[in-house]
Amino acid sequence: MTEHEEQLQLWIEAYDFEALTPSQQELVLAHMTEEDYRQQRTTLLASQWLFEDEAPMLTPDPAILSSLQSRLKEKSEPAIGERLMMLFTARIPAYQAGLAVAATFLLLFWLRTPGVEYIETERIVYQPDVDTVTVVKEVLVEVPVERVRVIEKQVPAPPLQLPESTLLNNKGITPESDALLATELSRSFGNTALPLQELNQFVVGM
Amino acid sequence: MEQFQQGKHAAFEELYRRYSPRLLHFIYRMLDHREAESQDVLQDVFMMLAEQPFRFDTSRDFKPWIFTVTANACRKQFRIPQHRDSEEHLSELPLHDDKIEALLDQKAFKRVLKKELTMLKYDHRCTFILRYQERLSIREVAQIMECSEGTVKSRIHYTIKHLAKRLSAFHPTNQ
Repeated sequence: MTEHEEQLQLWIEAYDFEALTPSQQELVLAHMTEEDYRQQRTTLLASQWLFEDEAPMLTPDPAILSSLQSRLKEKSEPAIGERLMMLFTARIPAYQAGLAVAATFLLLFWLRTPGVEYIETERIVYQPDVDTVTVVKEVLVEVPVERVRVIEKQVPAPPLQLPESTLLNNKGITPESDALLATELSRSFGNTALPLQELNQFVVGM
Repeated sequence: MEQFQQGKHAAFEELYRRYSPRLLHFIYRMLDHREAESQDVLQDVFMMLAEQPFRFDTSRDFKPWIFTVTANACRKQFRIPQHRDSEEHLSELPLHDDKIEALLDQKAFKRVLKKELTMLKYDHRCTFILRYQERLSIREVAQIMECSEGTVKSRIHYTIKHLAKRLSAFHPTNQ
């Protein structure tokens, strides 16, 4: 279809031949006769008139809508058999199946541990709130160990230097009359660590 | 249509109320005014819509889509051999008779025009009806017919020229 034919088609749809400008009429007459133009335009208008004239004569059968409505109702309410089939054919996400398995194991675990009763009690627990981290740095220093060898040599001992001592004049058993003297004697030992009572035990025949 | 896809039946009924008269008129014209068959085709189209609402892509326009579905449904009925019986009736019309003046009334012209429309090939008839009965744009007709706009224009040009030639005996300019 050429460009001119498209243009002519638009004019045939829109304008009578008389409504065209002289230049447009010239273009039309270059491709068809005036009679052809009128013929085609009249045919087109008559067709449109025919279409519009018959339009109100026809209406959809009311039974169609009611049957469609009932079908939609059936579709939205599946039968029992279909519902059962849906249970077996329904698809669920994998995580839901995983959760179901985990829940089953937990239930079995809980059922298989009878006698264990948990009593909930309340108690106050102080938790140290430590917010300081101490880093202990240990430094290992290797220290060489010095071994000491001890050699014992026999060396002649030097002569024993005994201090000079004063011999007490042992007067032997002193009579009772001299008991006082004995007491005095015992006291005369001077600086001794022994208490007097222990010293007295050596006193005979008093 | 989106609402119907979400399960709202009221949306479907609204679609039916809006489009069924127009679609029925289109089917009726496509099926040579066989009303019972036209009602059946209309029911089939909307039944398909009810059963498979997700066949419609909501990113597209609904009107061209439903007309495409309807035109395809008509095409199936169009292939029935019985349909072409009307050709014989047309041959009985005395288009070139000397007493043609007697038929120059609107009723006769209407009758012949209807017959001539039934004689058109499927693609030409469908294109012509969508353009001048349904008043769809060239672009919409091209979408429905699944062809280029140039093809639509060409078909329209051919159809008008053909009909004018066939009806020339009636001298429609005198009416």
